[in-house]
Amino acid sequence: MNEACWDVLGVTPTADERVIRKAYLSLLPGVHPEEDPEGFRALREAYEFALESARQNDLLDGDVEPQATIEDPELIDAQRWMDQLIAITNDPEQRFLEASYETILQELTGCSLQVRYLLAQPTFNWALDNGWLPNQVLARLRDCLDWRSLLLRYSSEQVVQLEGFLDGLDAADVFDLSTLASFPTHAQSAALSYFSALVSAFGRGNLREIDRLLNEHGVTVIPACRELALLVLRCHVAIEKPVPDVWLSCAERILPALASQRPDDAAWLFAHLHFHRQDHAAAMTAIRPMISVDAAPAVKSFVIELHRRCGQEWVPLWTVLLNPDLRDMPNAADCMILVMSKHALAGVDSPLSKQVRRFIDARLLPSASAVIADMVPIGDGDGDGDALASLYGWVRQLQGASSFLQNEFAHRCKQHCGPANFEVSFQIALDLVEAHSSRQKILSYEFDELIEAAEKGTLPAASRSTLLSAISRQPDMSIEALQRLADAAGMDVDSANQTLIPRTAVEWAELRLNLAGEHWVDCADFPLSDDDISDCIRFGFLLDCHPGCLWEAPWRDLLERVSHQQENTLFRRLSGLLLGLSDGSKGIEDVKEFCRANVNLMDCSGFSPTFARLLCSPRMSSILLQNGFERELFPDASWVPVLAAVLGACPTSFVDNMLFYALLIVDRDLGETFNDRLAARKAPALQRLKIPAGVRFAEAISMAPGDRIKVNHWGDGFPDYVEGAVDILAVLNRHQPHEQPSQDLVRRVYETYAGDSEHQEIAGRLLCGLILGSLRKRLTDTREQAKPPKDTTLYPFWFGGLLSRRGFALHMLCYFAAALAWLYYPATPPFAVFLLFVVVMTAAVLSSLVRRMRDAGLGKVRMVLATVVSIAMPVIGLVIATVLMFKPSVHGRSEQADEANGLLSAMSGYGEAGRKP
Amino acid sequence: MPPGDQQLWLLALSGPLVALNRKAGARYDVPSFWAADAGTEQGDMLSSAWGIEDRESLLETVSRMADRGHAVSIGANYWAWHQVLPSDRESARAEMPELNRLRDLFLDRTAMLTGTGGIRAWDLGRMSYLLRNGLYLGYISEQECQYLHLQLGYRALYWYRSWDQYLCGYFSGRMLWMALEIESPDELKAFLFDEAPSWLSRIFNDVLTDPENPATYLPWAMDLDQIERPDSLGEEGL
Repeated sequence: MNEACWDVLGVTPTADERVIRKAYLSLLPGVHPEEDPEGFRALREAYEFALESARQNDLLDGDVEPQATIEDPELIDAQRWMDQLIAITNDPEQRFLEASYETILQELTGCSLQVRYLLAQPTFNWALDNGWLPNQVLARLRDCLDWRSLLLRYSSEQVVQLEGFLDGLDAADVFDLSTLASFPTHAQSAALSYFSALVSAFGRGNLREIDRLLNEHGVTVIPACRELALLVLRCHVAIEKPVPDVWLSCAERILPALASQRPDDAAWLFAHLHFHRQDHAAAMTAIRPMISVDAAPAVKSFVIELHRRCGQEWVPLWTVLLNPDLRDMPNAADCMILVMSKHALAGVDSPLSKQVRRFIDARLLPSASAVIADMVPIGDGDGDGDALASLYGWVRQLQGASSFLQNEFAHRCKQHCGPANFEVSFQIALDLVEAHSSRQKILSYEFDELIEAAEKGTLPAASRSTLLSAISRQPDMSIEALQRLADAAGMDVDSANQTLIPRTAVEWAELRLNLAGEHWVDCADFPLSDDDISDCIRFGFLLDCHPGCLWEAPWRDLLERVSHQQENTLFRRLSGLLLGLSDGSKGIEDVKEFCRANVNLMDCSGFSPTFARLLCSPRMSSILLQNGFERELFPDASWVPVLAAVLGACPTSFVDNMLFYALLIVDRDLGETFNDRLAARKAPALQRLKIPAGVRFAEAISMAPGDRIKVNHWGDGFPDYVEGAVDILAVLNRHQPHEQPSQDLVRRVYETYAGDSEHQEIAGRLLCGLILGSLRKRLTDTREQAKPPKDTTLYPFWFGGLLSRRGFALHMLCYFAAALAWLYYPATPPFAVFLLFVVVMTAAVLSSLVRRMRDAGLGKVRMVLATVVSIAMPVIGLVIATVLMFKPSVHGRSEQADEANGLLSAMSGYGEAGRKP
Repeated sequence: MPPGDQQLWLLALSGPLVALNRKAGARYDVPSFWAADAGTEQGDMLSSAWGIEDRESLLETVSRMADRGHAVSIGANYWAWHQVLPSDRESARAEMPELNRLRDLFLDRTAMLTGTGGIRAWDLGRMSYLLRNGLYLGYISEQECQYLHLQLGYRALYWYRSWDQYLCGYFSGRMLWMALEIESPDELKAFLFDEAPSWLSRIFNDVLTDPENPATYLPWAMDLDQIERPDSLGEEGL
């Protein structure tokens, strides 16, 4: 480049910078940096080299005319400006303040191009060494002094880095540098280099470096800057390590400020910090405000993972709670979570864990899913309803392992089941989960611990009823101790009964429910007052009275008051419905709508039995019959929710599914397509259960013979859709063979409608519903206890199963008798013994035939004839055999006996023959 | 000589693939992946599915996957997930094309399970599978296979904290890889968020419960002993 630079510039070697600059500027338009980067670069390098050598010549050769000496005003200006900049950066109180640089930056704007040119390289070098300057100041210097043009002087590798540096100046500072102003310079520098390194490591994703900086490197200064603290916390989250106390306290200081602007972010971050410190309770508390159905997926996955770490049993519940769209099968993410939970629960030996494991298996098993998908018609496409059905299905499965959980959930739902939307139920479930763990903790306390915890205020958040329940488990409790607890809990003591006095109706009822372990409280026991009415209503006292009384005073007054409540509870809506029905302003369509919207909720809250009873009461039945049952369209699909309410059913189990299936079979007015679909679903269901086709009503309900005839007669008169129900009854009955359902109900309906030929069809429909309703309750109550049937009727090993156990015993007895007879009366002719065998066998076979004929419903005359024959034939045979056996003994007995005696003597060695030599 | 704990631990990195090929003769405790009676045709997968015909192509593929595998091309956002706050993530997602948005939602659901490692396990597991099959076909020696597995082990320990995380990373990666071929948003949504594919629960369950899988009895936090790099591997590569 030494000589070549002059060739490039097209001038002879000279120390005159003006000549060099002029040559450069004249050539510059010919080499565009983008079109000819190499040419531009060569020109620029030649220009700079020429300038440099000109200055060196200037210093070395004093005879050369100086062009830019120390007296050069431009150089003086540049030097002065540089001094100002360094002076500011050396002042620890000024150097981080952007305003400190404002004056010199303004001055720089007014400087000549020559001065700016002179300043470009020195300032750029200085900035590279002192990158802590506020980015905005550096960015203004970059633009004003054209630092980018300097990149041509560097190698390509350096250019990449330097471009990154220049581009990065547009971003905000690592943190608010002004927060460092109060620290000494060395501390500022240490903090700056530390956090710059942290930012760099975080940006590159270098986990080891982040870990080293956070957990090994000592920090002297932590600026009180929110962004910086956030960065540090995010680094901790990224490396998934516990946050040291110093950083946690820092987080506690800054996150409230963040929460005011971005509450979700603050909660998420704080929850993560606690999560990595293994403080799951604090993490749950932190994330709790963010949890909702509409929460971000990140929050949902965090909550599920949190529960997976600290309570595997709850994972399936949470996967449902947070994914209302979830139906029969989990998606991929949930699938992985559930498999891991099941695996973790394999080492936990508790009823709940076993239940959850089975539950997960059932959900993950494709065949089980296919069965469910085939059998369960949930809801009618309504989003909330479907979500609730799924949710409650899962929750109920979990509840099956814990009666407490079931009661608690039911109580809470009764309190809150107003708006039939998912959010409310979701919140209930959340409270339930928390209350469950709190309650378990409280109940695990000894009494002294309980008092101590109450006095210290460290008692887990739980309802007072839990406290009362805990007290009820303390048999030897002194009044003094009770008083201490009462004081701590803010309650009064009932000295006589050694318990706490509930203040509100809710507490009273909860106490009763907890102590008695009951679900409903008799309203007669409750000190009803105006103030307590709303609380009573929430507990369902209103509807626990006889349904027929609802239209009478004082209950009617109560209904009216409830129907005007502000709160949109299930009971308010029901009160309005009942009142509307009583005065005729509402009809069956309103009933259907009510059932459609609330049947799932009612079932979950334990309200279904009462409501079913209400619907089946005479008054309501008459309303239903008048409005709906007499119409030709009944039962169409719109009646399914009503029937479901009547049955008190929620499709959560196999039997319930079958019942819903039955309801759809009952429905015959939905057109051919629907019926075809039903038929297609029905056949495999029956096939799976190995139920032979053609099983009819009588077999289905397995009644005593007398009743069966009556029911058969009834069955003949039923319309077609009853046959469908009969089929399903057959399936259910075969599935639960010990059940003998429906007799009382069938008889009651029969007696009610026996002489009413006009309502024969209506009665048939009602009968169908009642049978299913009764059957559902019995089956669901006893399905757990149901055992395989004992075969008490037929002995399976002989005669192809024709003989009964008793017949077989008799048979064997006869064989034994015949053997004895032959032993004691050896003169019996073989024919007589053979005849005896034939008689015994005939008797047994005839007995079985008679049984079969009776089961087949043979006519009376034939039955008598068959019975006579079955008795007469063995008797005749027996007589003949007896005669034959005793007849030869008149003359042959002594000889044969002597022969026999001789044989015995010879064998024993004591006979006369034995004594002969 | 039966493999030691360290070697079994390293072999468990390709545990999901063993579970997948269990019926075909794959073994957890055999360094060359296949049981002795599995038949040589089992190694043909390397040629037909991966285009690996010789030692060079095997080492080149493994080396490439270490730095430019699916974890980088389709799973890079797992690392970002742990850096970005929820609101920033939501706003960024709002500007994504539909397909990317759906994939990002899947990432949201699985990032807590995989940790910062994301789907690197998907690459590591397949690399282990390739190396073991390379050993089976004689492309690399047992010593080379052990050394290269050790490098995979260091990476796995760096990115993951437990076997659960590793396995979730593997299966999340497999899901995302299978989702690459889906171009319809509806189909992609159904694949990622509707019913999980049946293989997922089956294989995952097998991996976690099969007593022969070293992952079921060896701890994740394994202190891996250094092995000297075989000269035959040269300076380049993994």
